[in-house]
Amino acid sequence: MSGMHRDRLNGNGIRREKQRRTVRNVIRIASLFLFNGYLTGFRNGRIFTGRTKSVCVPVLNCYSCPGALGACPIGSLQAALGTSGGRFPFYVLGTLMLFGAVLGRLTCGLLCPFGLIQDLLAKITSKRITVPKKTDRLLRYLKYAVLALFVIILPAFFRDDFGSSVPWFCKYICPAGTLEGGIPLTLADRALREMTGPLFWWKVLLLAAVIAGSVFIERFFCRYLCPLGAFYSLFSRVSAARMKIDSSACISCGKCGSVCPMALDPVRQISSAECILCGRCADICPAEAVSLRFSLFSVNALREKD
Amino acid sequence: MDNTGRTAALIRAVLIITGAILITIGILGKEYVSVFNKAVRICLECIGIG
Amino acid sequence: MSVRRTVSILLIITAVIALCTMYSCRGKGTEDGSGLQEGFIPDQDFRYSGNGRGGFPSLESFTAETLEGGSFTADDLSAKDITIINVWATWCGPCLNEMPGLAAFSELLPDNIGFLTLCADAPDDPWKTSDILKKAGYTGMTVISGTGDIGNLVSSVLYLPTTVFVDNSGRVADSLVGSPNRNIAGYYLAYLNRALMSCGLERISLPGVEEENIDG
Repeated sequence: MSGMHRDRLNGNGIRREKQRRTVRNVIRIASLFLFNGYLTGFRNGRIFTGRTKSVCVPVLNCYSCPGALGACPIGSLQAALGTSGGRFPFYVLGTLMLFGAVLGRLTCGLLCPFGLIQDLLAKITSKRITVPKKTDRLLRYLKYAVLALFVIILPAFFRDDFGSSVPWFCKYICPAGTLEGGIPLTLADRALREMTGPLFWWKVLLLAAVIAGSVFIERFFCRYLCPLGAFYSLFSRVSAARMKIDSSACISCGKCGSVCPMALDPVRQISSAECILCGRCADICPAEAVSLRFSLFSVNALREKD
Repeated sequence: MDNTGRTAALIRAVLIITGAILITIGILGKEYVSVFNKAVRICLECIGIG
Repeated sequence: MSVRRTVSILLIITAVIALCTMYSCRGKGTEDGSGLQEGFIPDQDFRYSGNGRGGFPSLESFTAETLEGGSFTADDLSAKDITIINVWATWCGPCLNEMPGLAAFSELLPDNIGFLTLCADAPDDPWKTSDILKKAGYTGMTVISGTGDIGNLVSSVLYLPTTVFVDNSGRVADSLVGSPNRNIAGYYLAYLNRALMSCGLERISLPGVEEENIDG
Protein backbone atom coordinates (compact mmCIF):
# COMPACT_ATOMS: atom_id res chain seq x y z
CA MET A 1 0.00 0.00 0.00
CA SER A 2 2.81 2.36 0.80
CA GLY A 3 4.57 1.88 -2.54
CA MET A 4 1.84 3.80 -4.27
CA HIS A 5 2.61 6.87 -2.24
CA ARG A 6 6.28 7.01 -2.99
CA ASP A 7 6.26 10.02 -5.28
CA ARG A 8 5.27 12.47 -2.60
CA LEU A 9 7.62 15.20 -3.47
CA ASN A 10 5.34 16.40 -6.24
CA GLY A 11 2.68 19.06 -5.92
CA ASN A 12 -0.18 16.60 -5.56
CA GLY A 13 1.15 15.12 -2.40
CA ILE A 14 1.71 18.51 -0.82
CA ARG A 15 -1.76 19.66 -1.78
CA ARG A 16 -3.26 16.56 -0.22
CA GLU A 17 -1.37 17.18 2.97
CA LYS A 18 -2.56 20.76 3.09
CA GLN A 19 -6.08 19.51 2.55
CA ARG A 20 -5.75 17.11 5.44
CA ARG A 21 -4.32 19.76 7.68
CA THR A 22 -7.19 22.09 6.86
CA VAL A 23 -9.72 19.37 7.54
CA ARG A 24 -8.04 18.69 10.83
CA ASN A 25 -8.11 22.34 11.85
CA VAL A 26 -11.75 22.61 10.86
CA ILE A 27 -12.54 19.61 13.02
CA ARG A 28 -10.66 21.10 15.95
CA ILE A 29 -12.61 24.31 15.83
CA ALA A 30 -15.86 22.45 15.20
CA SER A 31 -15.07 20.35 18.27
CA LEU A 32 -14.71 23.46 20.34
CA PHE A 33 -18.27 24.37 19.43
CA LEU A 34 -19.62 20.87 19.61
CA PHE A 35 -18.59 20.50 23.19
CA ASN A 36 -19.15 24.10 24.20
CA GLY A 37 -21.90 25.23 21.89
CA TYR A 38 -24.21 26.81 24.44
CA LEU A 39 -23.01 30.33 23.80
CA THR A 40 -25.92 32.09 25.47
CA GLY A 41 -24.71 30.61 28.73
CA PHE A 42 -21.69 32.89 28.70
CA ARG A 43 -23.84 35.95 28.40
CA ASN A 44 -26.30 35.00 31.12
CA GLY A 45 -23.88 33.38 33.51
CA ARG A 46 -25.76 30.09 33.56
CA ILE A 47 -25.08 26.57 32.43
CA PHE A 48 -26.87 24.36 29.93
CA THR A 49 -29.45 22.02 31.40
CA GLY A 50 -30.52 20.05 28.37
CA ARG A 51 -30.70 16.31 27.95
CA THR A 52 -27.26 15.94 26.43
CA LYS A 53 -25.77 16.67 29.83
CA SER A 54 -26.45 13.03 30.64
CA VAL A 55 -23.80 12.02 28.09
CA CYS A 56 -20.09 12.20 28.77
CA VAL A 57 -17.99 13.88 26.15
CA PRO A 58 -14.64 12.31 25.26
CA VAL A 59 -12.63 15.40 26.15
CA LEU A 60 -11.69 17.23 29.30
CA ASN A 61 -14.43 19.82 29.39
CA CYS A 62 -15.82 21.17 32.62
CA TYR A 63 -19.55 20.78 32.87
CA SER A 64 -19.71 23.98 34.84
CA CYS A 65 -18.64 25.78 31.70
CA PRO A 66 -21.56 27.92 30.59
CA GLY A 67 -21.11 26.59 27.08
CA ALA A 68 -20.77 22.91 27.93
CA LEU A 69 -23.35 20.69 26.28
CA GLY A 70 -22.25 17.41 27.79
CA ALA A 71 -20.76 16.05 30.97
CA CYS A 72 -17.05 15.97 31.72
CA PRO A 73 -15.93 12.33 31.96
CA ILE A 74 -13.36 13.05 34.65
CA GLY A 75 -15.82 15.07 36.69
CA SER A 76 -18.49 12.41 36.27
CA LEU A 77 -16.05 9.71 37.28
CA GLN A 78 -15.13 11.48 40.51
CA ALA A 79 -18.78 12.14 41.26
CA ALA A 80 -19.75 8.52 40.63
CA LEU A 81 -16.91 7.22 42.80
CA GLY A 82 -17.68 9.76 45.50
CA THR A 83 -21.35 8.92 45.77
CA SER A 84 -22.31 8.19 49.32
CA GLY A 85 -22.21 4.44 49.64
CA GLY A 86 -19.93 4.17 46.63
CA ARG A 87 -21.22 2.69 43.40
CA PHE A 88 -19.19 1.18 40.60
CA PRO A 89 -19.25 3.71 37.79
CA PHE A 90 -20.47 1.42 34.99
CA TYR A 91 -21.84 4.10 32.73
CA VAL A 92 -18.92 6.53 32.92
CA LEU A 93 -16.25 3.84 32.77
CA GLY A 94 -17.94 2.12 29.83
CA THR A 95 -18.08 5.41 27.97
CA LEU A 96 -14.41 6.06 28.66
CA MET A 97 -13.44 2.58 27.51
CA LEU A 98 -15.33 3.03 24.29
CA PHE A 99 -13.67 6.35 23.62
CA GLY A 100 -10.30 4.92 24.54
CA ALA A 101 -10.59 1.91 22.30
CA VAL A 102 -11.92 3.80 19.31
CA LEU A 103 -10.28 7.20 19.53
CA GLY A 104 -7.56 6.80 22.10
CA ARG A 105 -5.41 9.89 22.24
CA LEU A 106 -6.78 11.12 18.94
CA THR A 107 -9.18 12.82 21.34
CA CYS A 108 -6.26 14.78 22.73
CA GLY A 109 -4.82 15.79 19.41
CA LEU A 110 -7.97 16.48 17.49
CA LEU A 111 -10.94 17.05 19.74
CA CYS A 112 -9.90 18.48 23.07
CA PRO A 113 -10.62 22.21 23.37
CA PHE A 114 -8.08 22.56 26.14
CA GLY A 115 -5.54 20.96 23.83
CA LEU A 116 -6.44 23.48 21.16
CA ILE A 117 -5.89 26.27 23.66
CA GLN A 118 -2.46 24.93 24.52
CA ASP A 119 -1.53 24.73 20.86
CA LEU A 120 -2.61 28.33 20.36
CA LEU A 121 -0.61 29.42 23.38
CA ALA A 122 2.46 27.70 21.98
CA LYS A 123 2.15 29.84 18.87
CA ILE A 124 2.75 32.99 20.89
CA THR A 125 6.46 32.55 20.76
CA SER A 126 8.85 30.13 19.16
CA LYS A 127 11.06 30.25 22.25
CA ARG A 128 11.06 26.89 23.89
CA ILE A 129 12.17 25.60 27.23
CA THR A 130 13.75 22.23 26.63
CA VAL A 131 13.12 19.99 29.56
CA PRO A 132 16.11 17.73 30.26
CA LYS A 133 15.35 14.19 29.15
CA LYS A 134 15.51 12.57 32.57
CA THR A 135 13.27 15.17 34.19
CA ASP A 136 10.86 15.00 31.30
CA ARG A 137 10.59 11.24 31.54
CA LEU A 138 9.91 11.41 35.24
CA LEU A 139 7.37 14.20 34.93
CA ARG A 140 5.40 12.25 32.33
CA TYR A 141 4.44 9.84 35.07
CA LEU A 142 2.94 12.64 37.11
CA LYS A 143 -0.31 12.55 35.14
CA TYR A 144 -0.81 8.91 36.08
CA ALA A 145 -0.38 9.85 39.71
CA VAL A 146 -2.95 12.61 39.25
CA LEU A 147 -5.33 10.10 37.69
CA ALA A 148 -4.83 7.47 40.34
CA LEU A 149 -4.83 9.77 43.34
CA PHE A 150 -7.01 12.77 42.61
CA VAL A 151 -9.54 11.21 40.27
CA ILE A 152 -9.92 7.74 41.70
CA ILE A 153 -8.49 7.06 45.14
CA LEU A 154 -9.23 10.27 47.00
CA PRO A 155 -12.83 10.68 45.77
CA ALA A 156 -13.57 7.01 46.30
CA PHE A 157 -12.05 6.51 49.73
CA PHE A 158 -11.71 9.79 51.53
CA ARG A 159 -15.03 10.93 52.84
CA ASP A 160 -16.06 13.10 55.72
CA ASP A 161 -18.38 12.09 58.54
CA PHE A 162 -21.42 12.35 56.33
CA GLY A 163 -20.05 10.05 53.73
CA SER A 164 -19.78 12.93 51.31
CA SER A 165 -16.72 13.15 49.21
CA VAL A 166 -15.07 15.82 47.21
CA PRO A 167 -14.14 15.76 43.54
CA TRP A 168 -10.48 16.24 44.35
CA PHE A 169 -9.23 16.82 40.84
CA CYS A 170 -12.03 19.22 39.92
CA LYS A 171 -11.78 21.11 43.15
CA TYR A 172 -8.05 21.46 43.62
CA ILE A 173 -6.42 21.04 40.26
CA CYS A 174 -8.34 21.16 37.02
CA PRO A 175 -7.31 24.27 35.12
CA ALA A 176 -9.89 23.54 32.43
CA GLY A 177 -12.57 23.98 35.07
CA THR A 178 -11.14 27.30 36.16
CA LEU A 179 -10.78 28.56 32.60
CA GLU A 180 -14.08 27.27 31.26
CA GLY A 181 -16.24 27.44 34.36
CA GLY A 182 -14.86 29.38 37.28
CA ILE A 183 -13.72 32.44 35.38
CA PRO A 184 -16.68 32.91 33.00
CA LEU A 185 -19.15 32.44 35.82
CA THR A 186 -17.47 34.83 38.22
CA LEU A 187 -17.06 37.36 35.45
CA ALA A 188 -20.76 37.20 34.63
CA ASP A 189 -22.03 37.36 38.18
CA ARG A 190 -20.96 39.85 40.79
CA ALA A 191 -22.43 37.99 43.74
CA LEU A 192 -20.49 34.88 42.81
CA ARG A 193 -17.37 36.95 42.64
CA GLU A 194 -17.91 38.01 46.22
CA MET A 195 -17.98 34.39 47.28
CA THR A 196 -14.56 33.57 45.92
CA GLY A 197 -12.02 32.64 48.52
CA PRO A 198 -8.45 31.32 48.74
CA LEU A 199 -9.36 28.14 46.89
CA PHE A 200 -10.47 30.07 43.86
CA TRP A 201 -7.22 32.03 43.79
CA TRP A 202 -5.17 28.87 44.15
CA LYS A 203 -6.87 27.51 41.05
CA VAL A 204 -6.35 30.73 39.16
CA LEU A 205 -2.69 30.53 40.08
CA LEU A 206 -2.53 26.96 38.84
CA LEU A 207 -4.23 27.96 35.61
CA ALA A 208 -1.73 30.78 35.16
CA ALA A 209 1.12 28.35 35.68
CA VAL A 210 -0.31 25.91 33.13
CA ILE A 211 -0.80 28.74 30.65
CA ALA A 212 2.71 29.99 31.19
CA GLY A 213 4.04 26.47 30.83
CA SER A 214 2.10 25.92 27.61
CA VAL A 215 3.62 29.00 26.02
CA PHE A 216 7.15 27.67 26.31
CA ILE A 217 6.60 23.91 26.47
CA GLU A 218 4.22 22.52 23.89
CA ARG A 219 1.21 20.70 25.33
CA PHE A 220 2.54 21.25 28.85
CA PHE A 221 -0.66 20.12 30.55
CA CYS A 222 -1.13 17.13 28.27
CA ARG A 223 2.40 15.92 28.89
CA TYR A 224 2.57 16.13 32.63
CA LEU A 225 -0.80 16.65 34.27
CA CYS A 226 -3.89 15.58 32.35
CA PRO A 227 -5.54 12.55 33.95
CA LEU A 228 -7.76 11.95 30.94
CA GLY A 229 -4.76 11.88 28.65
CA ALA A 230 -3.16 9.48 31.08
CA PHE A 231 -6.21 7.23 30.87
CA TYR A 232 -6.38 7.28 27.09
CA SER A 233 -2.66 6.68 26.81
CA LEU A 234 -3.26 3.23 28.25
CA PHE A 235 -5.13 2.41 25.06
CA SER A 236 -2.39 3.67 22.76
CA ARG A 237 -1.31 0.32 21.44
CA VAL A 238 -4.81 -0.93 20.72
CA SER A 239 -6.95 2.05 19.81
CA ALA A 240 -8.51 2.07 16.36
CA ALA A 241 -6.92 5.43 15.64
CA ARG A 242 -3.14 5.13 15.39
CA MET A 243 -0.16 6.67 13.71
CA LYS A 244 1.71 4.37 11.37
CA ILE A 245 5.10 4.59 9.81
CA ASP A 246 6.25 2.81 6.69
CA SER A 247 9.89 2.15 7.54
CA SER A 248 10.71 1.26 3.94
CA ALA A 249 9.65 4.73 2.81
CA CYS A 250 11.32 6.58 5.66
CA ILE A 251 14.41 8.54 4.63
CA SER A 252 15.51 9.32 8.21
CA CYS A 253 15.49 13.06 7.70
CA GLY A 254 14.35 13.72 11.27
CA LYS A 255 11.76 16.34 10.29
CA CYS A 256 8.95 14.46 12.04
CA GLY A 257 10.70 14.49 15.39
CA SER A 258 11.42 18.19 15.12
CA VAL A 259 7.74 19.14 14.90
CA CYS A 260 6.32 16.72 17.43
CA PRO A 261 4.57 18.68 20.20
CA MET A 262 5.03 15.81 22.60
CA ALA A 263 8.78 15.70 21.94
CA LEU A 264 8.64 12.23 20.44
CA ASP A 265 10.66 10.68 17.64
CA PRO A 266 7.99 9.16 15.42
CA VAL A 267 10.54 6.90 13.76
CA ARG A 268 11.21 5.05 16.98
CA GLN A 269 8.12 5.90 19.01
CA ILE A 270 5.26 5.81 16.58
CA SER A 271 2.89 4.00 18.94
CA SER A 272 4.09 5.70 22.07
CA ALA A 273 1.59 6.27 24.84
CA GLU A 274 2.56 9.90 24.65
CA CYS A 275 1.49 10.39 21.04
CA ILE A 276 -1.60 12.55 20.73
CA LEU A 277 -2.14 11.79 17.02
CA CYS A 278 -1.98 15.44 16.07
CA GLY A 279 -0.68 14.44 12.65
CA ARG A 280 2.07 17.05 12.37
CA CYS A 281 4.65 14.37 11.67
CA ALA A 282 2.52 13.00 8.84
CA ASP A 283 2.09 16.48 7.42
CA ILE A 284 5.76 17.28 7.29
CA CYS A 285 7.18 13.94 6.18
CA PRO A 286 8.64 14.48 2.71
CA ALA A 287 8.42 10.79 1.92
CA GLU A 288 4.89 10.44 3.30
CA ALA A 289 6.01 7.55 5.38
CA VAL A 290 3.96 8.58 8.39
CA SER A 291 0.19 8.47 8.36
CA LEU A 292 -2.83 8.46 10.61
CA ARG A 293 -4.77 5.26 10.37
CA PHE A 294 -8.19 4.33 11.59
CA SER A 295 -8.78 0.63 11.62
CA LEU A 296 -11.76 -0.34 13.66
CA PHE A 297 -12.22 -3.78 12.19
CA SER A 298 -9.44 -4.60 9.80
CA VAL A 299 -6.23 -6.16 10.86
CA ASN A 300 -4.50 -5.80 7.50
CA ALA A 301 -3.55 -2.18 7.89
CA LEU A 302 -1.15 -3.23 10.58
CA ARG A 303 1.20 -5.03 8.22
CA GLU A 304 3.48 -2.02 8.27
CA LYS A 305 5.91 -1.50 11.10
CA ASP A 306 4.28 -0.04 14.11
CA MET B 1 5.53 -10.00 17.96
CA ASP B 2 4.52 -11.16 14.56
CA ASN B 3 0.83 -10.91 15.04
CA THR B 4 0.78 -7.56 16.87
CA GLY B 5 -1.98 -6.48 14.59
CA ARG B 6 -4.21 -9.36 15.46
CA THR B 7 -3.63 -9.16 19.18
CA ALA B 8 -4.28 -5.45 19.16
CA ALA B 9 -7.47 -5.90 17.17
CA LEU B 10 -8.63 -8.57 19.58
CA ILE B 11 -7.97 -6.46 22.64
CA ARG B 12 -9.68 -3.54 20.96
CA ALA B 13 -12.76 -5.66 20.24
CA VAL B 14 -12.87 -6.87 23.83
CA LEU B 15 -12.56 -3.30 25.12
CA ILE B 16 -15.31 -2.03 22.87
CA ILE B 17 -17.64 -4.86 23.80
CA THR B 18 -16.86 -4.48 27.48
CA GLY B 19 -17.40 -0.77 27.21
CA ALA B 20 -20.75 -1.31 25.54
CA ILE B 21 -21.78 -3.79 28.23
CA LEU B 22 -20.77 -1.43 31.02
CA ILE B 23 -22.67 1.40 29.41
CA THR B 24 -25.74 -0.81 29.11
CA ILE B 25 -25.53 -1.80 32.77
CA GLY B 26 -25.16 1.85 33.63
CA ILE B 27 -28.16 2.84 31.54
CA LEU B 28 -30.28 0.12 33.10
CA GLY B 29 -29.21 1.35 36.51
CA LYS B 30 -30.18 4.88 35.49
CA GLU B 31 -26.69 6.14 36.13
CA TYR B 32 -27.09 8.65 33.35
CA VAL B 33 -29.62 10.42 35.57
CA SER B 34 -26.91 10.86 38.20
CA VAL B 35 -24.49 12.13 35.61
CA PHE B 36 -27.17 14.52 34.40
CA ASN B 37 -27.99 15.75 37.89
CA LYS B 38 -24.38 16.51 38.63
CA ALA B 39 -23.77 18.10 35.28
CA VAL B 40 -26.67 20.54 35.39
CA ARG B 41 -26.11 21.82 38.89
CA ILE B 42 -22.97 23.47 39.96
CA CYS B 43 -21.64 22.40 43.28
CA LEU B 44 -19.89 25.64 44.01
CA GLU B 45 -17.09 23.99 45.86
CA CYS B 46 -16.32 22.00 42.75
CA ILE B 47 -15.43 25.08 40.77
CA GLY B 48 -13.40 26.58 43.55
CA ILE B 49 -15.93 29.04 44.86
CA GLY B 50 -17.23 28.94 48.40
CA MET C 1 -9.33 3.95 3.48
CA SER C 2 -8.65 6.36 0.68
CA VAL C 3 -7.90 9.96 1.49
CA ARG C 4 -11.01 11.09 -0.34
CA ARG C 5 -13.25 8.85 1.68
CA THR C 6 -11.61 9.92 4.91
CA VAL C 7 -11.98 13.57 4.02
CA SER C 8 -15.61 13.25 3.08
CA ILE C 9 -16.44 11.34 6.23
CA LEU C 10 -14.73 13.94 8.31
CA LEU C 11 -16.51 16.73 6.50
CA ILE C 12 -19.82 15.06 7.19
CA ILE C 13 -18.93 14.80 10.84
CA THR C 14 -18.03 18.47 10.89
CA ALA C 15 -21.34 19.37 9.31
CA VAL C 16 -23.16 17.34 11.93
CA ILE C 17 -21.23 19.07 14.65
CA ALA C 18 -22.08 22.49 13.26
CA LEU C 19 -25.73 21.56 13.14
CA CYS C 20 -25.65 20.40 16.74
CA THR C 21 -24.21 23.70 17.86
CA MET C 22 -26.83 25.69 16.06
CA TYR C 23 -29.54 23.45 17.46
CA SER C 24 -28.37 23.83 21.02
CA CYS C 25 -28.37 27.60 20.85
CA ARG C 26 -31.97 27.72 19.75
CA GLY C 27 -33.07 27.79 23.35
CA LYS C 28 -36.62 26.68 23.64
CA GLY C 29 -37.05 22.96 23.60
CA THR C 30 -33.40 22.16 24.03
CA GLU C 31 -32.75 23.48 27.50
CA ASP C 32 -35.29 21.17 28.97
CA GLY C 33 -33.87 18.12 30.61
CA SER C 34 -37.09 17.47 32.43
CA GLY C 35 -37.36 13.96 31.07
CA LEU C 36 -34.34 13.19 33.16
CA GLN C 37 -35.47 14.66 36.41
CA GLU C 38 -36.33 11.83 38.70
CA GLY C 39 -38.77 12.61 41.43
CA PHE C 40 -39.18 16.29 40.61
CA ILE C 41 -41.13 16.90 37.44
CA PRO C 42 -41.50 20.46 36.20
CA ASP C 43 -44.43 21.62 34.10
CA GLN C 44 -44.15 20.80 30.41
CA ASP C 45 -44.02 24.39 29.32
CA PHE C 46 -41.85 25.69 32.11
CA ARG C 47 -38.73 27.49 31.01
CA TYR C 48 -36.38 28.99 33.53
CA SER C 49 -34.40 31.84 32.08
CA GLY C 50 -32.62 33.04 35.18
CA ASN C 51 -29.06 32.30 36.17
CA GLY C 52 -29.72 30.13 39.19
CA ARG C 53 -29.28 33.01 41.56
CA GLY C 54 -32.69 34.59 41.43
CA GLY C 55 -35.95 34.81 39.58
CA PHE C 56 -37.21 31.57 41.05
CA PRO C 57 -40.78 30.52 40.21
CA SER C 58 -43.47 30.99 42.83
CA LEU C 59 -44.82 27.94 44.59
CA GLU C 60 -48.52 28.24 44.01
CA SER C 61 -49.77 25.06 42.46
CA PHE C 62 -47.82 21.92 43.19
CA THR C 63 -47.73 18.54 44.84
CA ALA C 64 -44.88 17.39 47.00
CA GLU C 65 -44.16 14.22 48.88
CA THR C 66 -41.96 13.95 51.93
CA LEU C 67 -39.47 11.43 53.16
CA GLU C 68 -41.81 10.40 55.97
CA GLY C 69 -44.47 9.49 53.44
CA GLY C 70 -46.57 12.58 54.02
CA SER C 71 -47.16 15.51 51.73
CA PHE C 72 -46.31 19.15 51.63
CA THR C 73 -48.87 21.57 50.18
CA ALA C 74 -49.56 25.22 49.49
CA ASP C 75 -51.63 25.24 52.67
CA ASP C 76 -48.48 24.50 54.64
CA LEU C 77 -46.90 27.53 53.00
CA SER C 78 -49.78 29.85 53.80
CA ALA C 79 -49.73 28.79 57.43
CA LYS C 80 -46.32 30.43 57.94
CA ASP C 81 -45.07 33.95 57.39
CA ILE C 82 -41.93 32.65 55.72
CA THR C 83 -41.05 29.08 54.81
CA ILE C 84 -37.37 28.32 54.39
CA ILE C 85 -36.66 25.60 51.85
CA ASN C 86 -33.07 24.35 51.71
CA VAL C 87 -32.37 22.54 48.44
CA TRP C 88 -29.50 20.07 48.64
CA ALA C 89 -28.22 16.83 47.11
CA THR C 90 -26.54 13.78 48.58
CA TRP C 91 -23.46 14.27 46.46
CA CYS C 92 -22.91 17.88 47.36
CA GLY C 93 -20.26 18.19 50.05
CA PRO C 94 -20.98 21.76 51.17
CA CYS C 95 -24.68 20.90 51.47
CA LEU C 96 -23.95 18.08 53.87
CA ASN C 97 -21.44 20.15 55.79
CA GLU C 98 -23.92 22.86 56.61
CA MET C 99 -26.66 20.42 57.54
CA PRO C 100 -25.89 20.19 61.26
CA GLY C 101 -25.74 23.98 61.51
CA LEU C 102 -29.04 24.19 59.67
CA ALA C 103 -30.61 21.55 61.85
CA ALA C 104 -29.69 23.55 64.95
CA PHE C 105 -30.91 26.75 63.30
CA SER C 106 -34.26 25.22 62.43
CA GLU C 107 -34.85 24.18 66.02
CA LEU C 108 -34.56 27.78 67.19
CA LEU C 109 -37.11 29.17 64.75
CA PRO C 110 -40.40 30.58 66.11
CA ASP C 111 -43.74 29.10 65.11
CA ASN C 112 -44.42 31.58 62.35
CA ILE C 113 -41.36 30.49 60.38
CA GLY C 114 -41.38 27.18 58.57
CA PHE C 115 -38.31 25.15 57.63
CA LEU C 116 -37.92 22.19 55.38
CA THR C 117 -35.22 20.65 53.24
CA LEU C 118 -35.57 19.36 49.74
CA CYS C 119 -33.28 16.63 48.50
CA ALA C 120 -32.88 17.30 44.79
CA ASP C 121 -31.44 13.99 43.70
CA ALA C 122 -34.47 12.02 44.89
CA PRO C 123 -32.46 8.86 45.24
CA ASP C 124 -34.17 5.55 44.66
CA ASP C 125 -32.81 4.79 48.06
CA PRO C 126 -34.43 7.14 50.60
CA TRP C 127 -32.44 5.47 53.33
CA LYS C 128 -29.33 7.34 52.25
CA THR C 129 -31.15 10.66 52.50
CA SER C 130 -32.63 9.94 55.91
CA ASP C 131 -29.28 8.62 57.07
CA ILE C 132 -27.60 11.87 56.17
CA LEU C 133 -30.30 13.90 57.83
CA LYS C 134 -30.21 11.80 60.96
CA LYS C 135 -26.45 12.16 61.23
CA ALA C 136 -26.89 15.91 61.01
CA GLY C 137 -29.46 15.87 63.75
CA TYR C 138 -32.24 17.15 61.54
CA THR C 139 -35.74 16.14 62.59
CA GLY C 140 -37.94 18.29 60.37
CA MET C 141 -39.65 17.71 57.05
CA THR C 142 -37.81 16.75 53.86
CA VAL C 143 -39.38 16.81 50.42
CA ILE C 144 -38.16 14.10 48.08
CA SER C 145 -40.48 14.38 45.09
CA GLY C 146 -43.01 16.67 43.56
CA THR C 147 -44.68 18.11 40.48
CA GLY C 148 -45.83 21.48 39.28
CA ASP C 149 -44.21 24.54 40.81
CA ILE C 150 -42.02 22.47 43.09
CA GLY C 151 -40.68 20.69 40.02
CA ASN C 152 -40.20 24.08 38.37
CA LEU C 153 -38.29 25.28 41.40
CA VAL C 154 -35.95 22.32 41.38
CA SER C 155 -35.14 22.78 37.71
CA SER C 156 -34.40 26.43 38.42
CA VAL C 157 -31.89 25.53 41.05
CA LEU C 158 -28.52 25.58 39.30
CA TYR C 159 -26.24 25.86 42.30
CA LEU C 160 -26.11 23.69 45.34
CA PRO C 161 -26.92 24.41 48.04
CA THR C 162 -29.67 26.91 47.31
CA THR C 163 -32.07 28.04 50.00
CA VAL C 164 -35.24 29.90 49.14
CA PHE C 165 -37.30 31.99 51.54
CA VAL C 166 -40.92 31.70 50.51
CA ASP C 167 -43.72 33.93 51.77
CA ASN C 168 -47.21 32.73 52.61
CA SER C 169 -48.47 33.19 49.08
CA GLY C 170 -45.69 31.08 47.60
CA ARG C 171 -43.59 33.91 46.25
CA VAL C 172 -39.84 33.51 46.68
CA ALA C 173 -38.94 36.59 48.72
CA ASP C 174 -35.23 35.92 48.97
CA SER C 175 -32.64 33.28 48.26
CA LEU C 176 -29.23 32.21 49.50
CA VAL C 177 -27.02 30.47 47.00
CA GLY C 178 -24.02 28.57 48.28
CA SER C 179 -23.09 27.82 51.82
CA PRO C 180 -21.44 30.24 54.23
CA ASN C 181 -18.33 28.62 55.66
CA ARG C 182 -18.96 29.91 59.16
CA ASN C 183 -21.79 31.08 61.40
CA ILE C 184 -24.43 29.23 59.42
CA ALA C 185 -27.19 30.33 61.76
CA GLY C 186 -26.06 33.95 61.59
CA TYR C 187 -26.16 34.07 57.80
CA TYR C 188 -29.45 32.26 57.48
CA LEU C 189 -30.98 34.55 60.09
CA ALA C 190 -29.81 37.57 58.14
CA TYR C 191 -31.41 36.31 54.92
CA LEU C 192 -34.55 35.34 56.80
CA ASN C 193 -34.83 38.84 58.20
CA ARG C 194 -34.25 40.38 54.81
CA ALA C 195 -37.06 38.21 53.46
CA LEU C 196 -39.33 39.17 56.35
CA MET C 197 -38.69 42.85 55.79
CA SER C 198 -39.42 42.56 52.09
CA CYS C 199 -42.83 41.21 53.06
CA GLY C 200 -43.41 44.09 55.42
CA LEU C 201 -42.98 41.89 58.47
CA GLU C 202 -40.98 42.32 61.64
CA ARG C 203 -37.39 41.08 61.91
CA ILE C 204 -36.73 38.39 64.45
CA SER C 205 -33.79 37.51 66.59
CA LEU C 206 -32.75 34.10 67.82
CA PRO C 207 -31.15 33.24 71.14
CA GLY C 208 -27.43 32.76 70.90
CA VAL C 209 -27.27 33.64 67.23
CA GLU C 210 -25.21 36.55 66.06
CA GLU C 211 -26.79 37.84 62.92
CA GLU C 212 -24.43 38.49 60.05
CA ASN C 213 -24.44 41.70 58.09
CA ILE C 214 -25.30 40.80 54.53
CA ASP C 215 -26.11 44.13 52.99
CA GLY C 216 -22.87 45.81 53.81
